[in-house]
Amino acid sequence: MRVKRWVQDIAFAVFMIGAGVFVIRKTRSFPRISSEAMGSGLGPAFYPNLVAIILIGLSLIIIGRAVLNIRKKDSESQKSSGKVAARGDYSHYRVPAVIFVLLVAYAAVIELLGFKLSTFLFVATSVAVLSSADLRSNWKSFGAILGTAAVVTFIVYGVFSYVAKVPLPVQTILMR
Amino acid sequence: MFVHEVMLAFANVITDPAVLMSIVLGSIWGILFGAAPGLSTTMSLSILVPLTFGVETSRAIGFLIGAYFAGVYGGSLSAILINIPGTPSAIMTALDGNKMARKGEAGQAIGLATVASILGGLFSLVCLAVCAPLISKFALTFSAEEYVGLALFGLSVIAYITPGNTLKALAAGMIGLLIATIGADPMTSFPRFTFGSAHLYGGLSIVPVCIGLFGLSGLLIQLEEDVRYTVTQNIDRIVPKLSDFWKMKRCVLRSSAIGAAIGAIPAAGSSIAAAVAYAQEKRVSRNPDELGKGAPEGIVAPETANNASVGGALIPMLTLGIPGDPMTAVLIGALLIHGLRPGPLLFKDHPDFVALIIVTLGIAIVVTCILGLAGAKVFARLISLPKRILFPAILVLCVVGSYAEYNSVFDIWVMLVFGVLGYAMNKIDMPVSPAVLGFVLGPILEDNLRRALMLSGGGLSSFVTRPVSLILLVLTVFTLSASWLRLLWTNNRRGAMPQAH
Repeated sequence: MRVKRWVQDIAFAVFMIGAGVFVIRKTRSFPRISSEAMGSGLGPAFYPNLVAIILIGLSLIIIGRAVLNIRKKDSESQKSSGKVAARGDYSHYRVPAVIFVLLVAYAAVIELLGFKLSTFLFVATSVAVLSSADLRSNWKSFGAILGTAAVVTFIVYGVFSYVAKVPLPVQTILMR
Repeated sequence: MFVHEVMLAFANVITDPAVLMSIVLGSIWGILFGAAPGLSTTMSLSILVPLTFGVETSRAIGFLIGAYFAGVYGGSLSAILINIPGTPSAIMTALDGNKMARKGEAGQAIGLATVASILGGLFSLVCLAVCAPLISKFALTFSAEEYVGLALFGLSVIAYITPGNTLKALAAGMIGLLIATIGADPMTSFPRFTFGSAHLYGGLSIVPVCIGLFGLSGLLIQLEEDVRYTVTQNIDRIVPKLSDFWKMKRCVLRSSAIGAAIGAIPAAGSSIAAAVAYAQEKRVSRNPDELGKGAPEGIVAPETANNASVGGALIPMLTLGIPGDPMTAVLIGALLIHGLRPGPLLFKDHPDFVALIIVTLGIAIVVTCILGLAGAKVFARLISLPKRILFPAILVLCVVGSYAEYNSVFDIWVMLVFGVLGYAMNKIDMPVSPAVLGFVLGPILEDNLRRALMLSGGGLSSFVTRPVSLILLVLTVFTLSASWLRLLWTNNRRGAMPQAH
């Protein structure tokens, strides 16, 4: 079942309160500044504390508003329960999740395998994931996927290395 | 005196093929990203910034300004052809533009949008060239209190421009302000929230933060849907008649003024400018019912305004160092990387660079006009480019772009973290732009707030005894209360609606 909006709002507000409390707790260890030394006692903790307190205050208002609207939103969601059921599956998250995992893997190996090989592998697998099942099983398309990966890798490498003059990672695993 | 610098910059740019080429390439990049649904102009600038690290500053400015102006225009192409605005600023254009396209007048609609964008851009260019030097002179008298007022006003505008999400927008702004505190304290150099990491001591760089929040999160959201857009319309008779525009001269002037003025308000942007211009056109039009049914004014008003906002947004950016919209927030980051700190001192210390930016914008406007009128058919085809090829390539640019500034894999991880944060924020309808604006405004706010409080011995009276600071604080309170009142009014209306029915 789809997560209701007020649940999302409260969850995120709680997360923000957590972040605010963390900041306030962390700033306790920051050094205090004497007003004689700096003209005022406003040390490194002052500003983060101020922002964190405002963030907590805003989060509490968001929670308060969400709680006040629960009944109203529940009745609205009951009215549109058909719609909710239709959107109840999480299958649309599959592709972004897989691509994100591939990105994490790409970031993890880019220094190890070097830019060219890691980028080629990342683009090839991403194109394969984003292609339909029919295309993936087709040998011609398999060649097109590898071709696309090679072209993208070549262009990005050329632009960053020769135009932007960025030293891209070179592979180190075979050098060991 | 400033005219001399502008003339010199014009002569330099026009005789340097590399700078001209960078403007053309930046404009093509901007139109492509603007036209492609789901890829925003802010995303295009974020990804483009790392590509400019290794190039000379004038070329970098050419790339960025070209991409900025053309990106705002590019959104109109997909709005007209497939009824999906490529950028938020083209939402109003879709209303009439797509209706015209369905009537078989896609070419005319694109022509109107192109010329309207150019006219709006030229108007704002004049505003920028005239107003920016004056404002910068005035801003030289600003002290810490005025900068605090400006930063607070910018943050309050964020709340005003996100109706229904005022609280979330403010909270997002606060998140941005908090993220900006990571790194060495600006006054004592004490490391804050660095967890012992040397990577965090200098603070987070704007490039991976923006690429994550705008680039990666936007792509992940687009990946949820397996949609391929196809353009079926026949695009011909693109170049509009002069007489058509002469009939709409008042609409053009009105929308240009609205766009430039709204663009100049810190944190407002092209989408607000387009919406206000469209609403104004509907209000003063002799045939208001025709708007929304394929009326040329329905394209001309928003397109003139959204591109007029570009020059407008550059005014607070160049004169005060305050971003006019998320795109100028990214531009501020890019200029900082090239050793230029936007603000009143930029006019004093580097008037040649300010002149260069003005000249580059002028040339970018002309280039966008040529590209828009001559290349509309090609850009229309590129809208149909499949995601499976386009997205992996952009994801690689996101990764390499984050890596490029400091040649650091750590920045790739930063980009990934902010990508997830941006994705989560989008999922709960929390706008991402305020977080970036907060991130850019954070150091300005903290530095000036602490300085003002130190000089006054901790007292707040200096904020209300200085006239400009007082006006800005009053405007902040007014903007915040206006957004709350508007929210209450909307809720009351919603509550009353069923009874009325």
